[in-house]
Amino acid sequence: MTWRDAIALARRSVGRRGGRAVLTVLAVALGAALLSSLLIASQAAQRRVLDQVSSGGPLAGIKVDAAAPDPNALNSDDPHPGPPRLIDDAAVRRIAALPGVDSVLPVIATPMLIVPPETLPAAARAKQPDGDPIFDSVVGVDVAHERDLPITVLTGRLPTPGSNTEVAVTLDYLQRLGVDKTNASALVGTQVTLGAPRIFTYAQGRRFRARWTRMTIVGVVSQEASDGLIVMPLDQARLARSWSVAGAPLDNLGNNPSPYTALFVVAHGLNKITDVRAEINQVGYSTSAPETLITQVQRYLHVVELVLAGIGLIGLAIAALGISNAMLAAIRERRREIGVLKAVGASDRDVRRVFLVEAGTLGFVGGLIGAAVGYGVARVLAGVVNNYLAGQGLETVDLGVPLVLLALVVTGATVLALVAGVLPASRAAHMPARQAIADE
Amino acid sequence: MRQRYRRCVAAPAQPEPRAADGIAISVRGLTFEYATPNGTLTVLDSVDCDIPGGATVAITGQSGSGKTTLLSVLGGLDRANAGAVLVGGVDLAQLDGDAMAAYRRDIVGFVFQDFGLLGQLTALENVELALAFGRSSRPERRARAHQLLTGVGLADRLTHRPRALSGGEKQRVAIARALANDPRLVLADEPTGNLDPASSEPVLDLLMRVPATHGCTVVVVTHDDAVADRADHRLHIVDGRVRTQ
Repeated sequence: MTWRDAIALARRSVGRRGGRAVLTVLAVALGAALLSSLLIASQAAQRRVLDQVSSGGPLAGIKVDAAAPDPNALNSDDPHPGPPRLIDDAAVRRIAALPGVDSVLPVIATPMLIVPPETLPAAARAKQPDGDPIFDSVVGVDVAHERDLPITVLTGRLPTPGSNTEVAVTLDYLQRLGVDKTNASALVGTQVTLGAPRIFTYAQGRRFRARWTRMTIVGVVSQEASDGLIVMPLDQARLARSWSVAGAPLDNLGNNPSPYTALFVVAHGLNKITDVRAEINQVGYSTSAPETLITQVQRYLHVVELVLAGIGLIGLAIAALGISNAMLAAIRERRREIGVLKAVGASDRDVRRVFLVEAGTLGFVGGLIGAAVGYGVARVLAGVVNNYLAGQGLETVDLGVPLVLLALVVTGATVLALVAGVLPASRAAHMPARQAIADE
Repeated sequence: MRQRYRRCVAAPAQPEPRAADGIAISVRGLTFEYATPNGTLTVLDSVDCDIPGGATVAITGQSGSGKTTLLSVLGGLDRANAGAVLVGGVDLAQLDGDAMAAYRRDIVGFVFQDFGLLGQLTALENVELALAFGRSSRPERRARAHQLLTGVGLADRLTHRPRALSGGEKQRVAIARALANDPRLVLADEPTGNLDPASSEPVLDLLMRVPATHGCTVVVVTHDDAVADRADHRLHIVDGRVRTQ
């Protein structure tokens, strides 16, 4: 008997006992749905937590400060930087050439006068600004490489690379204006005026002037690239900085003489971070990375994932026992049929195949339905969670379509059903032909 | 062993009379016993008999006399405790499980009192099922099943399930299935036992024509003297022993 014939016969046999088959399939579907929804939710939560820990950037991200390393805290996640040290293009190239380094992105933080608009949109639900400029930093980054930076867009978008008129604001900006992050989207599209400060020295003394530009806010972000209220394209920050440092020193205004105030380095995987940090320290710069935290969080998340998978598997195993029970009952009822199969020439192998295919069919169909339902349940849960997160002004969770995971659940359900069917199928196969035939 | 039983006989478009080449059976010292809580129960006790090839043979006897057990042993559904059953010169006791399955598939066709049709399959599929364990392709199987059912007068019942067929029609489907693999031995256990007289007659006619039309040896277990009287030979079993009549 071919597999095709066995499948056709199994399909008919399953169809003949529709009620029992439906209940058995539902049991498997329930277990598979539980397993798939738990795993999907667990994976999404894992991504979200790690995203949060890594501030939206890559997990293998390393921040390099314009400072010498602190020899007493080289392996700490967040060491205290040593004495200031310039980061120039030569240092960038040197670090980029280190083994295990995937990318190096410069960061320029420069002091700036920031003047919010005179009136904020009503939707921002904030007290109106008093018109006084805020003196703080802006952060320039290569916005074309958003995925390699510790930046999370909460609403809107990042400025277009090369734009001279677009900026994004940080949560600190919202805080300064008294805007709750749940109303962050109200600020998108508003204007902000930025003034790059410069000290001019005259015979009669020093005078402070600023080069003013008006920008449109295109997004609100959470970022860890550097302290600052505004995120802008790197070239804009460089221009502002050049203007500022061309004057008298701005030491008391927080100016930093280094061409780049920091670098964001992405290592080739979490396991490379320690080595890359050591190499950068050797080059002479202080580094920080949440590698220890991420590793610990990953470990805990893995435990959670295992526990959830265990719960789902228990559900699936219970369903498999249901299959085994249903098959044993079916074999008791179908002794005569087994006898007829043997009388017309079925070998033990053929009979075993028919019943295994029946068990596998129940598992496969149940797994398929369960995986689909589990994905649906996970989506509903994600919708509820995302509503809450969006209400809190936080980034939402993206489940994606975990095809591999769903395929694994279907395969797992089928394999478990086959395992559950081994005993009943063997019992049917070894049933003496005459005993089966004689059964009424 | 399976190879020894394989035959390649092209099925005719319509059943036609042909020279009898049914298989001869020789039983010597056949003993069949059951272990029961009260001790060993001897069902067949040193049975000796010969069944000529191409003949119709009726096995008669009272209930519990051992006639169905003898049929089961001849058909390879069960194994004797002692003695030899030589079918076409081959001792069934020497066949292992797979060879016995091949024997049941290629050499024997069974007809049961309760028809033994699978309720989930149509008449056509029930006949095809007997061919599914061989090597014929699906189209060949379908054509063969179609031909056999037409031969037993059920061309208009091909897609009917057993529950939609009368008793006589079910038994004709069972006979068609028994003939599917072109067997050399047809074993029928009370083939008219569940049929009314009107249905019995055409079924019996069909069965008794089988040696002529398909070249088989036919062995029928029956209580009915009218059935037994139509057979070429009769084996009467009394208390597990054969008395030739």
